[in-house]
Amino acid sequence: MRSPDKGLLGAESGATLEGMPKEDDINISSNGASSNGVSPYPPVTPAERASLDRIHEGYDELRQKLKAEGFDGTEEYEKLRARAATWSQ
Amino acid sequence: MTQLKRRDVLLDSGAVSALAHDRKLLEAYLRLVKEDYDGSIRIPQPVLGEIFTGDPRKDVVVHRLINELCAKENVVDQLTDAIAKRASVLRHKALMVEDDIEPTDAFVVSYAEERSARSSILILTSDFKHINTLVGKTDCKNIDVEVPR
Repeated sequence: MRSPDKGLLGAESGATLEGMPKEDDINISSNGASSNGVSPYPPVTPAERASLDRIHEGYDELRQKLKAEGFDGTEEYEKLRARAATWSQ
Repeated sequence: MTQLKRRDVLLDSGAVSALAHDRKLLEAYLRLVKEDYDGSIRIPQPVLGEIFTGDPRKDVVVHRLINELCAKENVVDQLTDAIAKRASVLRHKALMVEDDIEPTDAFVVSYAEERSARSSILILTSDFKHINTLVGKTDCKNIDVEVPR
């Protein structure tokens, strides 16, 4: 069984093979939260907006169903909001 | 109108199970994600590979939750080569400091990293320690980690 410290071909940790992608080639992103209050994110595209609107429509319907079944998460929501103040901005 | 801070919530298998069983908490997260963050609750595709038991009595609530979350739009995010490769790198780095980092945990963090270019991320997980270690191997400062509560 291959040691988790070794690569696919048994290379020692950190070793690279010719032709294989280096780590920097497979870094997807290195994002940081905004430090000046300006959103660091690109604007929502029309397609993303339409997708989010459909998702939110589903949330509204599901929340109505949950509340009708007696599952009102108001207390949990307030606790979540309090914790959310400590999350990255 | 004030623009909402964007944030998406990614669920690992423990979080899917927790929200499937705690319907009040689910209602709270649905409200938070929509009203406070204009975001969505996402399930990385590899998570599907470890949340089902094959026992219909146990799996029914998980099926119900996934169906509910995907009622209007699929929120199961598909695996890509880039996300899989990056997960491998993150796991390799994390294994240097901690044992037992599961591939699925690395996939979840890799999804979070990819998505963090578009919004802040909250990873909900029952495995805080391992997920937090993996997040620490990214350069992202906009990924938070919590257990469902």
